[in-house]
Amino acid sequence: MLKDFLRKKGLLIIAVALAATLVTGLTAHSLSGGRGIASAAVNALMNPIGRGVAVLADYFESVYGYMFRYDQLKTENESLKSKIADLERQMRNNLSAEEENKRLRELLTLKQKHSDFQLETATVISWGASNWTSTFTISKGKSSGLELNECIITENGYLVGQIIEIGEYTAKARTIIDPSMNIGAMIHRTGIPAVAGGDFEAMRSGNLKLSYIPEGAATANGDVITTSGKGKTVPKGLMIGKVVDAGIDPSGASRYAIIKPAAALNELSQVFVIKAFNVED
Amino acid sequence: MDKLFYKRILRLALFLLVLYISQAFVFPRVVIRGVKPLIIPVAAIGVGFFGGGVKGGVFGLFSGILCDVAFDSVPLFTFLLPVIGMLSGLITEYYLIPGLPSYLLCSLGGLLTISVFQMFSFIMFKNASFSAVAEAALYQSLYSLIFALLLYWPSWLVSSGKR
Repeated sequence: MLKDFLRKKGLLIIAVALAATLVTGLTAHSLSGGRGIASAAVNALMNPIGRGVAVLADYFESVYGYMFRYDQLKTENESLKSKIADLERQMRNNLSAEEENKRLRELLTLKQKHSDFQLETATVISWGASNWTSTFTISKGKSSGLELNECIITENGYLVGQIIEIGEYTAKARTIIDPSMNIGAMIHRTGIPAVAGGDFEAMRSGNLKLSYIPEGAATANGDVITTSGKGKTVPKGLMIGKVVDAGIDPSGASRYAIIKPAAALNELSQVFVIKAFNVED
Repeated sequence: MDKLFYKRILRLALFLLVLYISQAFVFPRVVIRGVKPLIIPVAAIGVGFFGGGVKGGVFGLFSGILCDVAFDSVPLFTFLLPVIGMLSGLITEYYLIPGLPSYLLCSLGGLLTISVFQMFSFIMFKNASFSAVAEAALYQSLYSLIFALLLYWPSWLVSSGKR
């Protein structure tokens, strides 16, 4: 039976197969991409099924990812958090270095402007505990060549205070707003001398008072007050602050002005002590 | 003098040391309305209140010396605190009923006395306005009273908890 089938139909089948192969090969060769008719037909039939399978596969993969990659994600999260913390620490150190850089540049400008100043850097290590005075302690003392009454400035040349007590390795300074402070001052705009000193009421608001302003002399808000250099303990031309208010003494005998210090006293960390300077007559 | 006596002395000395460190280095950074609290004087009043006049006077003397070092006010506290510490003990013994209200009253009285003495030099010798000085004194006393409350139990503990 098989023999009969093959004898009758076999040759036909072989002939058709050969012809199909020939046709497929020829069309694959002639079309761009090299895809033959059969291949194109199969792909056309299989495409929708393939897309459906892909959607299902993605869904199951996401479920798998959620269930089995959670620990991996958690570890990655911890590692990233640690890296962020390191970067933040680096950023803080950089900011601190940037601030110090800025201070040192300003100090360089100050030294160029006042080449006669012999400066000693110091750090503010503590503030006075009293509510009735304004003092602070710095990290240098006699061992660094400091002496009593030497004045203290910021990197911008703003007057901060004066040394009132000195130890071997530390010194105590009174700020310019302390009620016991008195320094020769000058209204920079007019050159008129006066005395800048602490006043308790002004100190409570972080300011100091300009007293003994000669009669007829006027101050205006915003006037810059500098040191006059009189007394020879404080160099001339250091900025004390700016006038924010003015008035007449209760006795009526003289005028006064309230000065806001140029230095931000509550933000002091690094200061400079003027150990020596040229006295101007 | 037995071991227990030296133990008490050591306890009071350590208490004073902790107070000095807090007063000189910690609380200058804790400023409210431009004032810092008085910790050591409040403790001296407390030791007198709980330990009696003698203990208050002796503790007041040493704490007064340290206060003058911290506040640059030689010799105000060296004189004031032994007197206030001693009076705190005597008044409690004869006139007050021991307890928190009496302790706070004693503390307030001591703080106001200190303020009056501090105000005096500013008004008499530095021409400060009375209102500014009084305002600072009032805020100082009220702020320090909070610490009187916090030091109630430690003061009782170091004073041997007699009352």
